[in-house]
Amino acid sequence: MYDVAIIGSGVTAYAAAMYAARLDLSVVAIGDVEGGTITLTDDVANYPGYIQLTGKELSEKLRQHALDYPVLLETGMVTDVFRNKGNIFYVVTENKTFLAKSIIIATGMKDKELEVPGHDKLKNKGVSYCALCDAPLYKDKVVSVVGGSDSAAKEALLLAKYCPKVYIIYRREKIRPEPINARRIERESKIEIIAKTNVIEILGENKVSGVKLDRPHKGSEILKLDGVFVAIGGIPFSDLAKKLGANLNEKGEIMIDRSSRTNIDGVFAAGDVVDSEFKQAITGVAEGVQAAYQAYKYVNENEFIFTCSE
Amino acid sequence: MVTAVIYTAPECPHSKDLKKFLEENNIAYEEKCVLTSRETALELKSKSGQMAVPTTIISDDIFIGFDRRTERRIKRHLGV
Repeated sequence: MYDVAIIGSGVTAYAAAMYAARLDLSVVAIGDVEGGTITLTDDVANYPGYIQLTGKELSEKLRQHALDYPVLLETGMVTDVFRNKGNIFYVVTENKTFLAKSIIIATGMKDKELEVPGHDKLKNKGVSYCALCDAPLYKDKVVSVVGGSDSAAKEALLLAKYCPKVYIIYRREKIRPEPINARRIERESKIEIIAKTNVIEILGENKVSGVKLDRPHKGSEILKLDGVFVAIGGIPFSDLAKKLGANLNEKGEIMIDRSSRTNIDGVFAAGDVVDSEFKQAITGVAEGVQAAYQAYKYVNENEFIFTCSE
Repeated sequence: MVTAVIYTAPECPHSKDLKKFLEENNIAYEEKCVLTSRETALELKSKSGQMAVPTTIISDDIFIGFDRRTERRIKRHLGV
């Protein structure tokens, strides 16, 4: 039996695994996407200690740091989790089960999809959720990014390296990137912002040919495009936490206190899946470390009963 | 005669599937529940390098987990 099972395989999970192992806990971390969401980012320049590196490089550094300790990093998807009457958690994957005294949920979130006509038909046929993955395919093409967050701005800046024209289509008046990326956007002549506008349909038969807007842009509601990159936020992977009885907020995020504790004893949570307002690699890592420490306290202060009866 | 030693946990769905498979194929086994004691869990770790259930040990070969692929590997290994 493990002292702590961490559900997740991103930087938050790696940091929690490393710290829990430092506290002499036996650790398994289980996740299906090695490195997590940050691996889809090519430019990380806000993680203290590293002036600039890619998301993949950062996650690999944290992974290697975790592996410097005797932790098991398991590739797999957790399909179920429950607690038996002896106070022991069962963490079930597609083909095996890990038993643990405590749980840290660091499952992150998935992209929120753009729910407009044409989206499903044209997803991966011009509709993309990852500029880092797909930008080279759009070399010399005209594309748009839908969204106004810092992530959307970074997607647009990356696309501008390949594309002669990148529109940012945003429903509100002003996009809201970090100031440094706002300045980069201002300096980038290939990027044009279409504010106070929604995409109401993605057009095209076998591939994207454009989008329909809810108000005219330069006299037309049709904007011709070769690609649509969607960056409108995420949906937290909190189903397992919900099953364990953890409180979620209206966005479905797991509610935690300052020490990464949920309302359920022995269940901790950290990273993009929790209700923190500011979601960054560094904040997730810090929450993960808090969770590891709280798991350490919990494991040492509670009783766990070995019983082979159901 | 025991052919396989299996490490299981009572409420693990894959442990139940493994036992059903072994019984249906008339493969004799000795079951060790990892919640018997800390020692049993540590014994599993020393043999397989991790504490995942179910784990099947047939002579010197170790099969961690159970799914269709493991089923095929065990069958191939035993020639059943």
